[in-house]
Amino acid sequence: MNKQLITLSTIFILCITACQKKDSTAFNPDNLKVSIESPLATQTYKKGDTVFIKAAASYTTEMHGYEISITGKDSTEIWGMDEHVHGSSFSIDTFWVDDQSEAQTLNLALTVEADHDGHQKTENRTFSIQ
Amino acid sequence: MRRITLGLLLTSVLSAGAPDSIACDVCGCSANIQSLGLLPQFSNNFVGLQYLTYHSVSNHPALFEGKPDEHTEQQFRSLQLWGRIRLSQRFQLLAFVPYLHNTNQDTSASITKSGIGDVTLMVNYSVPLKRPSKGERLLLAGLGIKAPTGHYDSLANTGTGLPNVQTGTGSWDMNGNLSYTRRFSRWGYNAEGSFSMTTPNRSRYKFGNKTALALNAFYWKKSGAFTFVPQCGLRVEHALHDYDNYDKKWLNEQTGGVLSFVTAGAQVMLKQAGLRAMAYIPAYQHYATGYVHTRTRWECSVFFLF
Repeated sequence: MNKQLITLSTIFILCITACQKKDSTAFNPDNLKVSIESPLATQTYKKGDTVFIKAAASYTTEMHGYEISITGKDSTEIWGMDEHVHGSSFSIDTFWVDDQSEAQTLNLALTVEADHDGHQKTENRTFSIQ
Repeated sequence: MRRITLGLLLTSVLSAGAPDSIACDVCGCSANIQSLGLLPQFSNNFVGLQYLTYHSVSNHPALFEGKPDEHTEQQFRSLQLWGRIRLSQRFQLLAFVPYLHNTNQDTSASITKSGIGDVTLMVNYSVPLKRPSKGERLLLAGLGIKAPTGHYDSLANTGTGLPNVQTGTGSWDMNGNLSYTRRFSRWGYNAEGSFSMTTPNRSRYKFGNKTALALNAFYWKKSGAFTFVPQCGLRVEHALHDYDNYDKKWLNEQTGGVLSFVTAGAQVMLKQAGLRAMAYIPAYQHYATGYVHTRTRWECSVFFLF
């Protein structure tokens, strides 16, 4: 009786600690959709203006996060943020206030991290500040 | 007579306890299966309060190159009302009602969640054993259920939330334990194994199944009206990975792992009242791919037999 109980318990424990099923979808960059709705490429901002950043990303399986970076001359980062987001789709709604005193063309790069193996996709948008 | 003698034998049970933790992918110490340790007098009912606290530190590698690692500290505190009622000569009913106060502190913000946690009910069965020629022994097999009475934020598993610091897991889970206690004259030992089998919650997040093994040696000494039971041992806990979405099999491989502890503590009994303090000192640990490190757990409890 006791041996049976211990044997059954051992088998049960082995069952609940067994290998776990995992979504093993191979990374396909074509399925990772990243779009930037705002700012528009034609837009020009003045110092003190708020640049609304609206974007979306979707994928066939789980994504892990995103990074936004605004760079100016010499690819110097003026502003940036990153966030962990888990899901197969998400939208981004944030803003940056133009604090630059020099007129230039800026690049907004949105990079979405598909997994922890370094698979990612970047969408760029240039806009101007006066 | 046998019942009375068994009453002197220390028994032990385990139950799944506090929920788990942190933002992003690297998740805190969900391997925690709260230990009840050695309890006195199998044949008596009791009610008590148990306080458990521990601290974990994680260093999450930045998701993007060139960014600094994310440093997070979490503090878990649980004050638990618990008790045992003897249903028959062989069956006991145990209940656990925790109140949790969990804090997550990272470089930019501090988040605190507090409230009633998940309530657990467990039935223990005393397996009939041949009486040894010397001393006593007891084998208990327990099975229980944990109800989602604590709060689980539905956004917790989107990456912006913190699954582990919620006061509840949001899921119905099954717990079980097998505990064997052998006492000679004053010395004895207890070996126990326990598990928590989880189910996905409404948000489809599934905390990993957990198992724990413990071996404790104790010494029983009566001095006047007091009974002292110092004890020490080893404890190993294992947690499988969590699923961010169980239906889609989104396995979060930066959760789960192994924690092992050296345990030490003592229990003091005076008539119908008891006091126990335990420390769980981390030994080997490899949790959340090695990014999370737990510190010493402290447990203190009082109980009253009736």
